[in-house]
Amino acid sequence: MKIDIKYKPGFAMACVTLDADDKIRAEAGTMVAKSANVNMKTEKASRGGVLKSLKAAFFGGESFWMNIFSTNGTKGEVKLAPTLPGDIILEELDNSTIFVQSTGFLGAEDSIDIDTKFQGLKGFFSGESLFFLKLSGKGKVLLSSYGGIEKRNVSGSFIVDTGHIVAFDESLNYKIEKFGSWKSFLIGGEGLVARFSGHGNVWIQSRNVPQLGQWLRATLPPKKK
Amino acid sequence: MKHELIGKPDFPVVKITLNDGECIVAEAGAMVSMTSNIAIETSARGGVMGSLKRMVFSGESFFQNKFTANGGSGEIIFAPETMGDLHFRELKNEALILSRGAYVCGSPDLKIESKWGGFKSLFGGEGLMFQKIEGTGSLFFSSFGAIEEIVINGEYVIDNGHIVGFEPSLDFSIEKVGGLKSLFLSGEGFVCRFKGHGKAYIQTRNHSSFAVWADGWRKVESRQ
Repeated sequence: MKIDIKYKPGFAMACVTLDADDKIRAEAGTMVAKSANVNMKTEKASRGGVLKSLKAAFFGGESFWMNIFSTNGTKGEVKLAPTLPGDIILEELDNSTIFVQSTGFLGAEDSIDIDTKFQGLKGFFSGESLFFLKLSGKGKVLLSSYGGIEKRNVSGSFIVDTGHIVAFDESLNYKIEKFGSWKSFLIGGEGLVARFSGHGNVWIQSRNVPQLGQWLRATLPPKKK
Repeated sequence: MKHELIGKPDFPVVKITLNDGECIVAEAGAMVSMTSNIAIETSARGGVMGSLKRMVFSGESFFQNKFTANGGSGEIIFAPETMGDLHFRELKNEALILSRGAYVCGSPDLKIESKWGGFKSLFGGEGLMFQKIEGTGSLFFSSFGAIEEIVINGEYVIDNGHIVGFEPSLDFSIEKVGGLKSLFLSGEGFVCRFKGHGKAYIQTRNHSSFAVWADGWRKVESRQ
């Protein structure tokens, strides 16, 4: 499997070349185009039964179903792109695990196991759908960002606004907390932040998805029910 | 007429220099700025019926503006509606099919005809009301996101929402992708299967998906 990311960083698209036995699993609705010899099959997000998939749908925020692309034995291609403007980054997992914020997942090689990690009350407090997919195994993973993406190596402690997190290594611990004093939290406009500690990478996006949503909410006329 | 594309690929505009007496036609609202010696003439090109068809079927404006340089050369800048690229193509007695809203501006000699994509495209929903641009002259069209040219030789499948345009030498059919389960759950909706030999242009973002996403954030008020 070869993956080329084109049109970085504003409106990136991943061009995936599939060999005979390659399979890629992609977030629903992300296919741009494909060669005629590539087949698409729709499957539950997580392997391991309905319960696991239900968990992914409700807690992972991502679509319940994912599409699996494979070829009919010859070389083929499929092009993938996210909904929002921004970048795509390719990561190779080597028997490791990362947690990906729900909107940051674009696709993963079939060898990668996708699971959800329920964030519990910590997540609920944020109001920013802080749900993560747990990706583990060995293979390629495509992360997408709203805006640009930066991979930052953390050693010690580091603070990221929750709306700017794309993904982080399992090796990092994190704690959701309010930003600064109660005054900064309430009127500083920063809301909640994640405090990471330990050693590992965190992927940060240069724009904030819930902020765009709130901006649209304030701008667009209300729907009538 | 000379042109320069500035600010590619994310937020480009096209700067066009017209010689005395030369003119260019553009979608209503595309003009950003111009020198003061350029005259604007607004008309329903192709008559009332033609313009209605263009508006209803192709998502273009009813009126189009014709800009003419008078008493010396003039300079005019046009921008598309969406975030994303602007593409130039010189048509030489040939035609290009563009999807809804992709046309930005072009030579006045180009004939623009709205085409109903056929009964089948009713199911396609997204932008399958095409317009055919035909003739000889400069053409500028826009995409949501980046634009990629694909040379098709045989068969190729493109999501309906990602089609910018294609050459009429290509045959196409609207179909669902995957099995019946995929139709409802894959999020892919309908795709276009192109057959034959020719170029297609795709865009890296999808208007409909973006609009659906944005719509999800709207406040909901109960009707009184």
